[in-house]
Amino acid sequence: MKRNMQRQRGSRATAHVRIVLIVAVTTLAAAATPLQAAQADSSILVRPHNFVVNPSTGPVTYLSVKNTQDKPFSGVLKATFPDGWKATQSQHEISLKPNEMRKYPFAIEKAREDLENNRYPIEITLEGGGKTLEVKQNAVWSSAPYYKPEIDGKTKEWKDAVPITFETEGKRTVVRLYWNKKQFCLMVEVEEDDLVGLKKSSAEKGMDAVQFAVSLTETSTGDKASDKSQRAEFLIADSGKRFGSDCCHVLMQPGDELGTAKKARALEPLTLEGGVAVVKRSGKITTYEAAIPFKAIPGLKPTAGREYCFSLLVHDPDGTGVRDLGSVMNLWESRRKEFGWCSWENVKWGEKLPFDNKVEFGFCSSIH
Amino acid sequence: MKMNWLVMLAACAVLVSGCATTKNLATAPAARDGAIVIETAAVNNEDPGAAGKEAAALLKKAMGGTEPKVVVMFECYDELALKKKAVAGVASVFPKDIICGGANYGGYTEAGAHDSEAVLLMGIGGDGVAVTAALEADMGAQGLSMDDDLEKLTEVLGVAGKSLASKIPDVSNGKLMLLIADCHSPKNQLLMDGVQSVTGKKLPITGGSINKNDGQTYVYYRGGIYSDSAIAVLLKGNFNVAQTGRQAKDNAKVISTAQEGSATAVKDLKGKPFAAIAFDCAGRKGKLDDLSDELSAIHKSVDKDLPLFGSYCAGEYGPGDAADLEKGVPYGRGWHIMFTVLGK
Repeated sequence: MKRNMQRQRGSRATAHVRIVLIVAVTTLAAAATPLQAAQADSSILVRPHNFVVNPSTGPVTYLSVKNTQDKPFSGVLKATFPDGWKATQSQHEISLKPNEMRKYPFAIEKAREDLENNRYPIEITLEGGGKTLEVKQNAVWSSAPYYKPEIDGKTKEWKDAVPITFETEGKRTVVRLYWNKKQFCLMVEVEEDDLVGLKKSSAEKGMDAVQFAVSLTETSTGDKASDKSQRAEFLIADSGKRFGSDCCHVLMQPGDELGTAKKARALEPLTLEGGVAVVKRSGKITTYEAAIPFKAIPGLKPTAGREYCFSLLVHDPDGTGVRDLGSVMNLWESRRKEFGWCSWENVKWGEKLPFDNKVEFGFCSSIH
Repeated sequence: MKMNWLVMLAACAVLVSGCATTKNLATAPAARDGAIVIETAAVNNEDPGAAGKEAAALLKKAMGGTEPKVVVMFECYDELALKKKAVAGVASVFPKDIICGGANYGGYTEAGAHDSEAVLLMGIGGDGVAVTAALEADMGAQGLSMDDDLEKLTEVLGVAGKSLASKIPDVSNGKLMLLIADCHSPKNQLLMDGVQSVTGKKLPITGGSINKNDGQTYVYYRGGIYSDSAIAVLLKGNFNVAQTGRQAKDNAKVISTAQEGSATAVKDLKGKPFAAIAFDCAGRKGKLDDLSDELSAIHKSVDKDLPLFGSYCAGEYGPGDAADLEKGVPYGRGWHIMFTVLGK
C-alpha cells in the first residue's frame, strides 16, 4: 500500500509557514505515483539515486535536487539512511540558481544489504527559504553482478542477481540482471493472466513483450526527430515457436535518428544477431530470459564498477498495460520523453509517456 | 552433509592444483650487501597461454642474469581453463615452484595499464633478498557473507590468518609481507586480524583480495591453483619500505589520491626507491573514465622507469587513511590504493 500526504504546518519557533511533504512509500508501485505528482507541485524536487554498487562496499551515492523556481534557492539538504547505516556526512549546504539541478554526494561507510526486498528507505529533509521539505523515498540497489547464466528460461541460476520487484495494479514484475565479459543478461518475471506472443499478436490485441534500453552515463534523449539516439534498445517476446530462440530484436542503436522511434516497424528485420532469448510460461508467470552481446551496446565496457543507464518496460496490453521500471525510481515528471522509447508493429502504449530510458545502474562483481 | 561438501572441496583443490607442492617456499638468507632485483612485465592477449609465456619471457629479459626467487603473478581471464593456460604459459619459462599470485581485475606496470585478458608479473630476486612463502588452503570462508555469517567468518578467517602467518618462520626481521587471499573487502580485515595476531601490527603488509567473480576466485601457489585460500610472501633483506593508503570513490579523486599517495610514500622512504607495488581497488578502476589516468598520476610522483607492479583487486591490504585508524598499521580495506615503495 502506498500512503501520501501533503500538509502544511506552522513553525512554532519561527512563525514561518513551513510546507511539509511527508511521503511514505511502503511498496514499490507502478505508473505515475502520487509521490511524483506531489513533488511536481513543489518548487524544489529531490531524488535519491540508486545504489549502483553493493551498498556494503561503502559506495558514494547521490541525491539530486532541482530548483524549479525562477529565483535562486539556498538551504540545507539532510539525508537519513536506513537503520544501522552510516554515512560520512549527513548534510550539505546547497545553493541552486533558478531552474538548476545538482547532485550531492553522500559516502556510505557502513550498510547492510537486503537482497530479498532490495529497497532502502531514505529520509530527505530540505530546509530553505523558510520552508521544510521532508520526503521519504525508497532507493534500490540497481546492479548487475557477474555471472554466465544458461539462457533456458529457468530461474534457478538467478538467485545471486539483485532483484528489483514492483507491482502494477496488483501484478508483480521482478527484474534481474547479470553481466559477463561477452553478454548483458536479464531475467524478467511477469505476473499476468495470459501471454500474447508474436504469433497471436494483432493491432487490436497488441503483444506482450519486454522492452529495455542501455546507454552510457552522461547521455541524454533529444527532443527533436532529427536528433541522434544515444542508446541501444531491445525487445524480447515470445515467438510462439516450439524450438529455437524466442524473439530478440534491436529497436535502436546509438547514432540512429530519434524519429525512428515513432515508426511502427515490423520486428522480423530487426532481429538481433547474436542475441538469445527464451520466454516461458509457468502458472501465472511469464519468464523472459535473454543475453545480449556487448557488441550490440557500443561503448559499454563490461567491467566491475562500470556505471551505465538501464530502463525497462513490460508490455501487458490485455492486463496492466505498460509497466514502467522507471516508475519506481523516484523520477520526476520532466523525465518523460517523447522519443524515449521506440514503437513497433502492434505496440499499444498507455495514455502517459513512459519515463526516459536513462536510469543509473552498474556492474558489480559476483555478490559472494 | 557438510563433511561431504568439505571433502569435495578439498578434492577439487587437489584436482585443480595438480601435483604442485603446498609446502613453504624458502630461499637462502639475504646477503647484507647483496643486490636486489625487482622487475615487472605484462602482456595483453586473448590467448592466456601466449600472454603468460610472453610476459614471462619479457620478465626474464628484464631481470638480466638474475633468477627470480619468486614470480608474483596476476591474471584476468574469466574461466578456469583459461587461467590454467595462463599459469602454464608462465611456467613454461620459470619453474612453477616460484609462481605465486591470484586472479585480479587487471592492473598496471610502469609500461602501461591493462584492463582484462592480461598476465602481469613481478619478479623478485638477487642475493640481497630472502623470500619465504606459505599457503593456507580451504579456509572455509567461501560462500559466507558479512551480513549473514559474521560470527563464522570472523572465526574461520581469524584461524586461517593466524595459521598462515604461523607457517612463516621468524617474521621479526621481515621487511614486507605480501598477502593475497580469497576474501574480498570487508572480509579482508578478518584475515588481517588473524595474520597480525602472529606478526603484530608493525610489520608492513600489502596485498589484495583476488577477483571474486563467479568462476574466477583462484589463488596461485607454487604453480598450483586453489580456491578459498590465502598466501603470504615475506621479504627480508637490507632495504626499507614506505607505505601509504588512500581511499577514493570518484574519477577525480582516484586520480588525485594515486598521485598524492605515491608522492607521499616516496617522500617518506629512507633511501632511493628501486621498486614500487600498488594494490588497488577494482571499484576505483570502475570509476576511472580512462584507465591510463591512474598510472599517469602515479608517474607524476615516481620515476617512469621505476619498476611498478599494480594490481586491481577486490579489497586491499595496507595502511588505511580513515581518521579512526592507527597510523602506519596495515589494515584490510576497500576503495584504496595501497602504495608501497621499496628502497635502499
